[in-house]
Amino acid sequence: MKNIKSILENMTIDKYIALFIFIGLLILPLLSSRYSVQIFGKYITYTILALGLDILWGSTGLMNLGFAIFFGLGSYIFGISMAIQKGLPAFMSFGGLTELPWLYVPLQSPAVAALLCIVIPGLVALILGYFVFTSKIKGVFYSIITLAFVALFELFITDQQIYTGGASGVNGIPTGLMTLRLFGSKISIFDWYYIAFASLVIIYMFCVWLNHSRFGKIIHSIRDNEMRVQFLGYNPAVFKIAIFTISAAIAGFAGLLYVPMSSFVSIENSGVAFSTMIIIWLAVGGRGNLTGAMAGALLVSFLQNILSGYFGGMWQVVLGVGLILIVMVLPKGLIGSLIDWQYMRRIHGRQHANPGSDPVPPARKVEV
Amino acid sequence: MYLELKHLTVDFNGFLAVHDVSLGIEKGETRVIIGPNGAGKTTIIDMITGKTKPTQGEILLNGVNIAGKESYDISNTYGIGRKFQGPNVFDEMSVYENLEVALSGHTSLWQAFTYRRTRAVDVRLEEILSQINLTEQRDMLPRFLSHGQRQWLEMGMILAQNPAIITLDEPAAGMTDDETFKTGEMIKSVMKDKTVIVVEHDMDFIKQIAKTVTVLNQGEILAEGTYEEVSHNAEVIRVYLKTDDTEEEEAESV
Repeated sequence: MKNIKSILENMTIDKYIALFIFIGLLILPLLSSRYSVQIFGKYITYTILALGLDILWGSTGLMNLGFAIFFGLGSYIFGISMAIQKGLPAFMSFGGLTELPWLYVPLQSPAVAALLCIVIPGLVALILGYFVFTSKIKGVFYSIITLAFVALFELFITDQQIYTGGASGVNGIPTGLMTLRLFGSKISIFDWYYIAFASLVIIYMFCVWLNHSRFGKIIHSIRDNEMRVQFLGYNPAVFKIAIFTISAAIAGFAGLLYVPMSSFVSIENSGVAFSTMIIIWLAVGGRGNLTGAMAGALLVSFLQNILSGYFGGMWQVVLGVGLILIVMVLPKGLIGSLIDWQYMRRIHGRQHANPGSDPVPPARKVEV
Repeated sequence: MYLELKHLTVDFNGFLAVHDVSLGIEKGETRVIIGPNGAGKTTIIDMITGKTKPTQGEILLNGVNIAGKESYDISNTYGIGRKFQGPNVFDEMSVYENLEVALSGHTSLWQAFTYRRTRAVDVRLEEILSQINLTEQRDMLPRFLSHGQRQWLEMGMILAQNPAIITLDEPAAGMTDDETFKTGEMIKSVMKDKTVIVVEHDMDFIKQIAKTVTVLNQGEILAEGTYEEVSHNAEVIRVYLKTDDTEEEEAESV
């Protein structure tokens, strides 16, 4: 009991907020309608996606302007898998296909498709990362390349209409995936919600562990001082490729979970615009502390929903002004600023408790 | 010869930062390289540690040419560590974590995931903390340390890295006399088994640590010998020591 109390006292404010978010999401389906469950289920997949970008951008300093590619790959793979469960989907037969393209044959098994949702984005990231990072492309040039990739991806998807549904996307996916059976029983939207929720908690814990591991310290060091890291014997390219791949696999998995929540997959959730949206989530919430990414994704998505109700077509302008204000007033994001505030308060508390003591504060991160 | 620089030349778009420098360093030696600003001292360190590729010439370590290799390879495979000019540490991590990241033998991706902070690691890092006088500052962020303490932290990182050859680029820069003296003693005691290459300006400090001094001027070697020999060399006094003294006098008069 005492142990728990000391843990709670030492917890930083971001951990409290993360706990609050988890509890809120856990009890939400008990209090709301099926429609809200579907909406918030979608937001959960966004928070997972935001965590994926946070370990890349927040922890390693690699701002990816095309991160939605990996989310898109995951959602397209699983979406197509669902769409082909009952024979050839409309967009393929209208396009003139009479039988399933050989590339899609493995996707007839949802289990294989689910696995590929993680493996394919990871593999794509591994290959892209290998070329980008071993050729020492850095900073803004790296970011521009990621933007070029997502633009290409968008073009490719729109162009290959017979295989991807083109601009209108993959539709006809049953909501809550009523066709999918797990151990003989149908998976309802509520089941999917809790699958997504459990995944979020597990991925959050994984990211916390990652940040505290030696690997985490090395990627933080790369973010803060890449040159110094090299002279300590680390090859930064290897670590960048690794984190790029891990974050892409997380994004791909988020894409999988998105499919049952939306029952519709399109370029809207895998292109340039959505990539920018992920950047906005992290800018609003704050980077590098995981909670900021989650809070930003939830808050912005929620506001987007509310504002579009009140302001109609003008909602983007209202949201845009709000975002600019946040970025200008709180450059570290909402959660980042809260952490700073709590840190300063703790220092003052210390000085107050021992007047005349050395006013030098301790390390921010209290670790075991 | 343990570390041998052979006819090194660096040409930065027509500017010869280093011109035909040959230098031999024995194992276990502490070598000080001095020279006025722009003499090419840091460029030589840059080449030994893989930051700059020589235009011409070879760097032989036990007969293997390491010139032009990647800096992480030189650090990892060939065991050459580097302290930068001005403290270059990780400001977002505690003093202890800075040393931990620098710890040798855990630099591969696999080791980054499997590493555990064992008892042996902790003992080693605590030992380094006491060697660099930062035991009490263990959990502080480096940005709250004094300039001298930050320099020591970087020295500690090199100790944790445990290289065979240590290159120190102006380790006493910006330190008080007392701190400079302590730094000199640190080099003499904890780095006594290593081959150490120091680039420095401070003559008292050089006198304290050096057995052999190499004097560079405008990218070329001007003189080499013991501190006594070099400091009485007429040519050296003319290009380096004299100007340094007058600079100091000017600084004092201001």
